[in-house]
Amino acid sequence: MPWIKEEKLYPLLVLILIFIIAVRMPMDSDMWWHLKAGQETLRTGAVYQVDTFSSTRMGDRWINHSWLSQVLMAGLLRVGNFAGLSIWVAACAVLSLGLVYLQMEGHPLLRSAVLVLAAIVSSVVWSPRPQIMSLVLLGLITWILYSYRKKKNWLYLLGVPLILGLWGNLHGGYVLGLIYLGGFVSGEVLDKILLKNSSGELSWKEISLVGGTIGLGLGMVLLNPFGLEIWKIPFNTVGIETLQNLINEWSSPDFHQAFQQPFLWMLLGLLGVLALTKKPLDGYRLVPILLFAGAALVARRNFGPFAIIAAPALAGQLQAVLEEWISKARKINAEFDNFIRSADANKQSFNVTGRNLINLTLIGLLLTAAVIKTIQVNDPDLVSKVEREFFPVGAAEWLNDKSQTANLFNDYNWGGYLIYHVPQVPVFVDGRTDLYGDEILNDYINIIFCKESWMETLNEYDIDLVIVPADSCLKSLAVAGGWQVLYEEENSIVLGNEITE
Amino acid sequence: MNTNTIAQRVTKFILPRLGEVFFAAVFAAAIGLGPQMMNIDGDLGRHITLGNFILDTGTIPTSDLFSFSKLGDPLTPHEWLSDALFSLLHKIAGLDGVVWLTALILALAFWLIYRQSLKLSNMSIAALVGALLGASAASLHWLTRPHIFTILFTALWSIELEKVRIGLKKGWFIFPVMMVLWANLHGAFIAGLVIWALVFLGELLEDTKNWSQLRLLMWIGPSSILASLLNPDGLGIWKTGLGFLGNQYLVSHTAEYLPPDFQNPVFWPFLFVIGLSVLILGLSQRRMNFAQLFLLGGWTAMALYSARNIPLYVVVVMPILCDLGATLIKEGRGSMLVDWFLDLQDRITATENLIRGGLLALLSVALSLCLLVNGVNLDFQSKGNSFSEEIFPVQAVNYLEGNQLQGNGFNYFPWGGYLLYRLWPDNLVFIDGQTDFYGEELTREYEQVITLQPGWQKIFSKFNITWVIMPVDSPLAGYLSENEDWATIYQDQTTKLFNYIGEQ
Repeated sequence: MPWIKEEKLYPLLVLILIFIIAVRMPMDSDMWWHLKAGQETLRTGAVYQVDTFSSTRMGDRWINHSWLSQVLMAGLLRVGNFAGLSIWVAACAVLSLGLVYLQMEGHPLLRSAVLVLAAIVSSVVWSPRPQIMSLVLLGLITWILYSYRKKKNWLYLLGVPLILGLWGNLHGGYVLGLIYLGGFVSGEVLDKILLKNSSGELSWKEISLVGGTIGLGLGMVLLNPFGLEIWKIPFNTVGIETLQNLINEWSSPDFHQAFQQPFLWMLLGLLGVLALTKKPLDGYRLVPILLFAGAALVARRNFGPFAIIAAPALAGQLQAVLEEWISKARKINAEFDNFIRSADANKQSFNVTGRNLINLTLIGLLLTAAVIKTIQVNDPDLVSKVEREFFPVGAAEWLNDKSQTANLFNDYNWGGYLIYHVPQVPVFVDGRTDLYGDEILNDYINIIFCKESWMETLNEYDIDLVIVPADSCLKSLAVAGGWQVLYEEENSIVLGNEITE
Repeated sequence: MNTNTIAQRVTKFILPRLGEVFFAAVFAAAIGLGPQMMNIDGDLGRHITLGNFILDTGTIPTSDLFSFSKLGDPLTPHEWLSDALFSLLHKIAGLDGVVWLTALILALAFWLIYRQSLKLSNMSIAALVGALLGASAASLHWLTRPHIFTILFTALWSIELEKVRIGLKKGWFIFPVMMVLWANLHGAFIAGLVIWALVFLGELLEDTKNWSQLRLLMWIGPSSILASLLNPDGLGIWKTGLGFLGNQYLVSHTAEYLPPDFQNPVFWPFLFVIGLSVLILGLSQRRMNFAQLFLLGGWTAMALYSARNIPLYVVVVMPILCDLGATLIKEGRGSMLVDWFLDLQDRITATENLIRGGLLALLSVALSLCLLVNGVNLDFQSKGNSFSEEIFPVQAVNYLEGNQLQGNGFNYFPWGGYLLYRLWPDNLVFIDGQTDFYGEELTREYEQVITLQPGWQKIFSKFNITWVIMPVDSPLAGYLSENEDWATIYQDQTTKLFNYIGEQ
């Protein structure tokens, strides 16, 4: 008897591998303002909800839907520095996909292979932000519903409102849970209407129970510092027209970029296995897949949720296709049948000690790689180098040296960094799109893309200092309009008007 | 023959079939959308100008005539036949003629999709819904440009190939003949060979193989590849096409090659079709054959990669989905709703069998041309088919016609075709929509200038730019307005025109 069975060995190896993929340098542009908000909440003992970071929304109320995640992030930073954050992200990735594995059916090797694909698809959205908590909670809620459907035990359903209550304080993505629950119920109803008699189908009473749980969950979401206002968040965010101009992850996928293509492989793989098997897909899996595939095609930040929803279906249908093929091949070809039989026999007779040794070596090697990568990505010199590449480090230092206040206009992606590193100078804009809304963001776009009235817009806000990328069109225009280049480095430039000088 | 028999025959001809009504509807919609079709894309002017040159001189140019930046460089005229057709219709009926031709080609293509869907599904309602959905998903590319011929030829090609695949057709000669035409009409003739490769590979993988049919299928590819070489540039047409597709920078900087943006409602019908394909395959208990699967998967990937492939996706995939959808509906026999639907379908089929149709389609096509030629505006807004002053520099070009500027003019890329249409041969452009000809280096230089990236002034010096025509809200126009070396000599709500007045 091997020390660890293959049913457990493959997922264990894959989950360590996922940790290795997910443990990264914490360098997201939004991470900084989340950390600052978390630190403010910890410092004051009250949820940070009135803006003090920006000049454009100073004093305005902000529905800080991720306050609990921010506190967690600030706590992790305090306890474990940036390594704490990177381990947190990797742990969340492992947990979310571990829960997905539990919902898969089929051979462990096949399930593990599909899990690797799901990991590659999801990896696009693994970053040190509250969003990562949504992946864990979505994985958890899908596992609960899967278990309930399989075991018909209503106690599982108690977890749903509790998770939604927690989710409403961790991240605005709680709406993903509600979409999944709606899709699950619709899928079960669809099976009933089409008289499909899918495996493990729920009765009308059991479906109603899930419906009731959703109702309870909707109420639990309201248990947060903002009450009913939390409901506005998904609509406010999605309703911002300028969103996709500013944030890549909110735009439709661009499959010209290689890192976004794994989603396409997964979608095509799903189409392929659905086409090649006579086994229809159960409604509770089919309807959520439709909803989440649509969401992922509209905004690529939904790749992760799609992978979580689609992976179990992909594994199940792939298993069905392979079973059909192998059974057909064994019937047609006697040699293939003998090969399968002898492979099974060889597997049984393989030396147990040898297998244990190989398995432990593999686990040991991967764990070592995980530790090495964790140390490597948090190496201070490397972190500093990468930080200088992506953020206006020199400009921030210059601003801190001048220790002056100014009416600042800044690049959107650098707002968070400046909030964290130059707290005395309020920013023009940062990643809190729901706070700024179309009004400020349109003005931002007007300026950053050098549209016709860029100068008038700058003047409206009395801007006297500009921090933008070094190759920005603003450089030529502002200099032609009498502005001075006050500081310049490889990736950023600081422009000031005569008053600043 | 008695009067009753004649009356019956006439009635059979007058009453339209469902497919014919669909043809007329698509044709009418395309005619109604004429101004949009010709104003969304900036290349029509170039096509007409090149077509005029071909018809006037009787030669097909193989070197550049239109730009001062690449004048005389070797050029692959991969759309020369379309350009000549556009020009011919333009000579007959002006821009109305171009719109009419486009509407006719589109209506034919989508009618073919309907007919093929009907043939595969035996269900006219499913075929009609599928074709309507396909037409709306593809409508984003209802444009007056040679791409429409590729939509038509993709439909024809797929239908003929399916006949070979299922053993209804025993000859392959039609394919090289189609390919000669296709390769001279539009550079995307490669789509036909992609379809062939997917079908051939699919058939190779099937358990039960019909070897004589496979042999027939095999001949289609090589013979069509050879046929594609019968064009003014021979092998050059392949080099240009593959060279462009292999250049990531150019592909990513050409609007129509960009992936669909599903936040834009115009792409929602396509999103719906993708969802429908997942739904149908998820519910279906029928195993698809490999050829259909490869076509569905391959074209889904290509359409998600580049929006310009969506119409081709629709042409290839909709009949397959209709086939599967109809099977799914028939599997549901026994349920009250499905039985009612199938009964309705039977009654429609019975009625259609009594009708021959044809008059409505003929009338709509002929009458619309007569009306357009006689100056009747048939577009939905009754404004007529003309270049919009809000999109193209119409008034600025009027000014230029009266005030000839000396030297080389730097132009906004989407306006290149229009400038040629109005000003060539008196003025040449810096760049226009034929990105595969201008190449990466010049396109990068153009981008450097319009985004005012460091060193952009050197590009002006390199090409001796003495005047500039740009949109009013562009950064370059903003910069030149502030610069004392440049004078704004004309301005309206769309365009700013600058002349260099600094030291030479």
